[in-house]
Amino acid sequence: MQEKEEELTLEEAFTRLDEMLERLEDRELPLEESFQLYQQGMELLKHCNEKIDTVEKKILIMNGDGGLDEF
Amino acid sequence: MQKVYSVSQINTYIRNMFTQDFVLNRVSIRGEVSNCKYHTSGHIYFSLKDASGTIACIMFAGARKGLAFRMSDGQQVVAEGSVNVYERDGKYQLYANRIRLDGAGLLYEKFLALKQELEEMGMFAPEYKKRIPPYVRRLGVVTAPTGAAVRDIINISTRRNPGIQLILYPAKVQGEGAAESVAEGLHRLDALNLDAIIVGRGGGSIEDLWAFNEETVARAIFSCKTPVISAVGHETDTTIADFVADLRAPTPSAAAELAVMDVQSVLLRLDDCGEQLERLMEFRIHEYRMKLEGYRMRLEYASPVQRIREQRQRAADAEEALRRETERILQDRRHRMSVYIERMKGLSPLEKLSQGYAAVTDPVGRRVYSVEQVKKDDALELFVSDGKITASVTEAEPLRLYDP
Repeated sequence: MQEKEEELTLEEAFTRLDEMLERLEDRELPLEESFQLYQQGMELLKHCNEKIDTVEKKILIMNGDGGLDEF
Repeated sequence: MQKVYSVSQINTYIRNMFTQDFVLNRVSIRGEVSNCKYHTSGHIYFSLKDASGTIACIMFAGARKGLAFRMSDGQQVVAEGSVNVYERDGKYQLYANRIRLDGAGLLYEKFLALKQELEEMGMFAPEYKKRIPPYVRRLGVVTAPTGAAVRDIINISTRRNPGIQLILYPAKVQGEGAAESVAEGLHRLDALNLDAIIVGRGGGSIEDLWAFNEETVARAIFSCKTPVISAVGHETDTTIADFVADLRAPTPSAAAELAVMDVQSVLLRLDDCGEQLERLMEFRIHEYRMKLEGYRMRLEYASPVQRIREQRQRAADAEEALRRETERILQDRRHRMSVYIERMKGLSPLEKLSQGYAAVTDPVGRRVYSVEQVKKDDALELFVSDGKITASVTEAEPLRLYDP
């Protein structure tokens, strides 16, 4: 599960979340399963949040030798 | 006597005529290029000719910025400059400071020809188009290091996502060698395994944008493993690069918007998903609680305790009903009794006794109501209201109470 999530792109994660929400809306779903879905959904959200990098980056510029300098 | 001049004097005279001529000082000449030579000094020597004439031309190294392409024989060009005299050779020539390929028409034909060729090779085919990943972390940019295009890309990218890593390749985007520079940039950035590359430049004339119509650039884009977004000129400009690129953006700003997703909106959406999950889960739990409560009530209702309680209640109810009914009947009887008593009262002889009458019987209790029943010295019993008087007859005589 964890490994599978690592590979998910953000877009795929959203698709999965939408699916989970839709299933949770199904009133026939057993309670145990809805707990599982809920837990998975929360983990997925955490994973997505971690994936979004909010650290500001320096812009790099490629120099003549193919090296990278700060802009 | 006619005046005699030296060669130099005549040449100088003619040169002055040329120099003072308004038209020749700034003139544009259309013609086909021939005898084109790029001199090591940087000067370019060539001739322009048409069906019936030819004119010598030179473009000095210092004016080379006015030439955006590699000139070669046979090209139709418009050369702009001044016509003047080269005194040493005694000939006039065009000193060109700007040369462009003749008219948009010719360029457009070249554009169409290359477009068709590349299209037939399948370089525009949708199956080769790579998807731009929705969350680009490292973005390459091939464009001029100065100017609006690079500024727009930097501003918009970092505003949408401060966490984005931009890697710029400063390319020459117009003039000679521009196509090669852009292609080199694409190759270099492609090697860095970035998430996407934006290639482009700001607006300009069709000649300015020409590098992006060159096969070199088209092939470089096509061979990139990294998804490439083209952003050349303004919305109305379409170049070969746009067709080959995985995604075409109308402007450099738009390219940045397409490549870099807005982090705020993603975070909002994540929050939203989280809230929905919570809400749905709470709702489910609530629903189950309700269900459970329903079952509990039904179970309680069905339990023997409840039945016993119920029967006890019924017994109590019955008892109460019985008691009430008995009471009612008693009440009724009591009432009827009092009615009888009232009626009886009216009929009772005792009542009469209290008014001074007496009931008369003989000693054995037979009522005496006639003088015929007694004779002198017979015993009589007189009943009055509070007791019995024993008396004896002294005389008995009939009385006529009513006259007949």
